[in-house]
Amino acid sequence: MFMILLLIEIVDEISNSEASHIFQGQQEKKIRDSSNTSHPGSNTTVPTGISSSSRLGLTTSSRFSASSPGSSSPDPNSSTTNTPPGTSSVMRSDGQTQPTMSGMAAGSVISIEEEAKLVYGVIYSLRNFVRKLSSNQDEFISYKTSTYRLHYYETPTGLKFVMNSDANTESLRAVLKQIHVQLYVEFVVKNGLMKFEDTRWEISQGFIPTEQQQQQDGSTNGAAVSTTKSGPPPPPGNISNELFRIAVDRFIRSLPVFE
Amino acid sequence: MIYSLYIVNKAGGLVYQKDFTNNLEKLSSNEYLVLAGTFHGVHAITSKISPVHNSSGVEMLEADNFKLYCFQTLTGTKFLLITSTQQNNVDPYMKKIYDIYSDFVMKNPFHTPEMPIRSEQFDQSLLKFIKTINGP
Repeated sequence: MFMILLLIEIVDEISNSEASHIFQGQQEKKIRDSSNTSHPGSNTTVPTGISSSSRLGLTTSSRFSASSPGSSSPDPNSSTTNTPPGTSSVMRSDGQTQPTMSGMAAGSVISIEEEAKLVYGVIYSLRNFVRKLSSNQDEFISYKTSTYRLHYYETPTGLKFVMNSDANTESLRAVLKQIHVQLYVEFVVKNGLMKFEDTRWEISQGFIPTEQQQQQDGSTNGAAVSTTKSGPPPPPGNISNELFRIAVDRFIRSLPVFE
Repeated sequence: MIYSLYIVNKAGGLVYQKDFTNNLEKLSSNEYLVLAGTFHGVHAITSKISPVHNSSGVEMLEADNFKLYCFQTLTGTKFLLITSTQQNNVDPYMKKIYDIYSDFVMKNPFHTPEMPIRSEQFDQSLLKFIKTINGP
């Protein structure tokens, strides 16, 4: 049984030393699962355990909750309901702390925000570890455990691309570089309406109203942000750019290693 | 080609460190301690952030100029082997190093467990073994 699990997080180092993830999309597919029709605009949670569940492709509001015991409520980002995320809570101990849970990371009992912070910490430490050992010219490429492999690519501007795959995939660094050059630069950097000053999760969720918020979301669809929460909350992070999400989804599914 | 060996105890402290070539930077002993502790922590976290249940920690780390293999024993001791990038399978080497370790360190009644290793015989037989891999 060959399972590929992909999680893409793009982490911006500049904003703060914690992981303020800008974009997160999660795709998981099992080779024997045939029910792969994707319903745009809705996202169904499969109630069974991780090993027998399958995830649909990216939808307009693509945040997937893993089917863990905590998230038995309907998917928070279903565009048909107005309910706020079932498990979200905002921690405001300092201005930079991100909300604890608004969806669970696949395969674990920690939330996606926690996982993002841990991943960033691991990446940061390993990057410095590698640089220390071989005099500043080396870059950490990937690491492998018994069950998964994490691939890493850092752009010269400090943007970090991370992808998880199954353990016997070869290095996907070239793929990450392609994603950066062909997709991120094209759809995000060259988009004149994207704003990058403050990528805190709370802003994209509408917890902190900003003046340009409506104007910023003019370029997106289905991710309306309003402080009254009349629409579905947008996906976490601030790359609420549907073209980018869809393009990344299509690109990854077309890879030969993705089955 | 094996560049160096680190042995980390189960608390994360560096117990043994040896370079076998000159390819890697020479760091101060303090920096080696910090690196060992960092890796110990990262190893623990990587099993937590696994997308799949029940993952081990980092077993192999790949960089541009070297590869790092980690073998964790059942008692929590970690053997880190830094090799060249072409080295693909270090399992027999790991096993042999573990054998040498258990012979000259564990069976030494005067060795305090989890403490830095100060054993001439361990150094010598390790060097002899590495020489057979790296070549003269």
